[in-house]
Amino acid sequence: MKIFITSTGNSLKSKVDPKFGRCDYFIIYDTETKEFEAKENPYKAGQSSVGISLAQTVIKTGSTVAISTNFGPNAHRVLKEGDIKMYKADEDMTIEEAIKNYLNGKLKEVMSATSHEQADKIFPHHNE
Amino acid sequence: MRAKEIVFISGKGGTGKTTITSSFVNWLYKNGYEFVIADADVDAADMHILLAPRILKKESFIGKSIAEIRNDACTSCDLCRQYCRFEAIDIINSEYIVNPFRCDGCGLCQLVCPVDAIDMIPQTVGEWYVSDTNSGKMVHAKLYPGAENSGNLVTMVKHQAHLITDENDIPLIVVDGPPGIGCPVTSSLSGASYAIIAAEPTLSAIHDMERAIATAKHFNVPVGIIINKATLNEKNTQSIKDYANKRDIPVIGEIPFSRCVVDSLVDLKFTTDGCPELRDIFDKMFKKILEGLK
Amino acid sequence: MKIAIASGKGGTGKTTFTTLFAYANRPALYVDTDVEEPNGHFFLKPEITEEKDFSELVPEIKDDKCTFCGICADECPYKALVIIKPTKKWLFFPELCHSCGICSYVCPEKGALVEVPRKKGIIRKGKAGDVRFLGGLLNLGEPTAVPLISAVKREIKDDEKVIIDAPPGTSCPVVEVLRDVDYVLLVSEPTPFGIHDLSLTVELVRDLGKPFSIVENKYKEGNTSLEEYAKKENIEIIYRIPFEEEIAKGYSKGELPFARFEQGMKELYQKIERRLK
Repeated sequence: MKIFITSTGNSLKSKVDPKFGRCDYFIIYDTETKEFEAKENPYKAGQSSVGISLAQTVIKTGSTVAISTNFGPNAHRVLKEGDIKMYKADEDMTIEEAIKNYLNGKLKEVMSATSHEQADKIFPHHNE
Repeated sequence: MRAKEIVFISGKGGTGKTTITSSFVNWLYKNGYEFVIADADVDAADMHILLAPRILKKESFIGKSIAEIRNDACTSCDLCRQYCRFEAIDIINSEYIVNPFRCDGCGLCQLVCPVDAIDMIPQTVGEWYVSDTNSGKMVHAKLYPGAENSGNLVTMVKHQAHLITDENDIPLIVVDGPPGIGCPVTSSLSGASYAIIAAEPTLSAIHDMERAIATAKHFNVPVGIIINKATLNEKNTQSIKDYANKRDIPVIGEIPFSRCVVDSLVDLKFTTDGCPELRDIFDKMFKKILEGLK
Repeated sequence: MKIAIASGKGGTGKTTFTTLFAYANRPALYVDTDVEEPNGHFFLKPEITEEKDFSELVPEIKDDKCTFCGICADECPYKALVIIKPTKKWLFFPELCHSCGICSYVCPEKGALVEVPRKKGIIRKGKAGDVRFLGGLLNLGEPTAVPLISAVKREIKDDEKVIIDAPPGTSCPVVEVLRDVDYVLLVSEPTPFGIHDLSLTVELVRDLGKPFSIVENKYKEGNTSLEEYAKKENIEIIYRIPFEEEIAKGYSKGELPFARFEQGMKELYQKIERRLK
């Protein structure tokens, strides 16, 4: 089985990239051979429909599971229709940890589209 | 963490959207917040007039491609003109010419051309800048007159703003959105945390506000309303409040109709500086916006 | 004669001026091409006599004939179609579709992809006394206003006094409106934002080679900023509407001082007419 994970870098030590369509890299991990392949996301700086494009990439790579932090509505729709199961990894997780957590059933399945995880507090940093 | 985006829109132009956005920016700065400013009104960007940015980086923006017919290769078969859904191909002095203002860049003409006489040429339709202002970094852009794809330029401006916030761990982006409800507005709403609607108590602005709110809701962006020029028509101000109440939309504040708002603008001053009598109103209002974010 | 009224910035009084101008020069046709946010009907209060749908063709895929080869999706320049081969599913994103027709042209299976009309807005006609009304209203979430604007313009008969309310901004929709008019009036206000946005529109109108003048709205004695700009650019300020709270109050209720400006605006029309002869 192949797992597709959005990543901030090209190794298993890299952190998960929270942005699905605009992630820096993606990593495809094969659970049988335990090998992985890292690729730069060609849609990263695209002008439009990046979520749809990357979702199609997931399907084309033969992956059956996609792991990211947030799946936008268009990407979610494409992945769902492609029978790809989506799982949420926290963004401070490394790719390695995300895979391990997934295999141990510790990641939560994403049932509906989410917006971006955002800074939850906005504090003043300096005072004049 | 990805920075939150507060987007100011209005539907109708001239309701005070940019005036309120720039006041908010000035207030945030004075109260010690860190943020990046994004001017997403790329058709008629005005934030830079008050914020006087010093440009650090300037890039061209390549928009859609436009068809170009090589007349030496063209056999005047007319297929391109018949197939084009945008009526973008004219015959001028028996030559086939593409009208760049009408061409949508889809490329169907190139597909149907039997003699390969059509090229799709990418167009530079504007430029975008990263600048320094006294209140913080700002990303802004200029779309060349008559150009399209402003939605994609808005996406680019917001993307660049996020690169800055990501790199510097800044939690907030303040976006001055475009008027209307079309593509640039939907681009400015996409991924936003909070949309503030600058409304005014006039029949036309209320109508446009309703359409802007519906657009924000379509993108699942929570909305709040600021009623500008609220004392201009008390009855209409009340009906905006009733409308908001019925839909559980918070009315964040009311700014009275005041000559000093225009006067401070004419003097190139932030309203927060130029209208001391409105200071308390702004203070309350802007605090409420930040509370609404949590 | 076709006169278009434009303004780079919204809220400068474009619709106020246009409706007053159309009324003063009745019988005339008032055309609202600001299809994203049309407002002219609030002031003219026309009785709507005809309303029709504006539709464009979008793809529909027949599951029994489609082989899910994916060519339509690959060729779609707007990524509005997605074909998922493994699960034999197709998805359509109407808000991304520009109705260009490429998908149907490239589909290799006869009858697998058909184009069906999808409503994208409406066209309205009506009358308010001697002012006839024509306008469009775009559905929310539609990607581009230009096709609806073209459709509205096709309803204009050539031999009329046509007063066109253009959309704000300086992008494609404005060009679509201005490209075949005889004269352009640019409504602006004496504020830094107003003058900056006006300068962008001036650039555009010059590119299009149209004769034009400025209408100064919210004019206040002593504020010469717009006048200085006009002088520098060698553009005539052909008409002025003063800044008065009373006008703003009336506007908020959808009431305009039609009678007060009637004579002046009649003369303005005649002036432009003479100039074009």
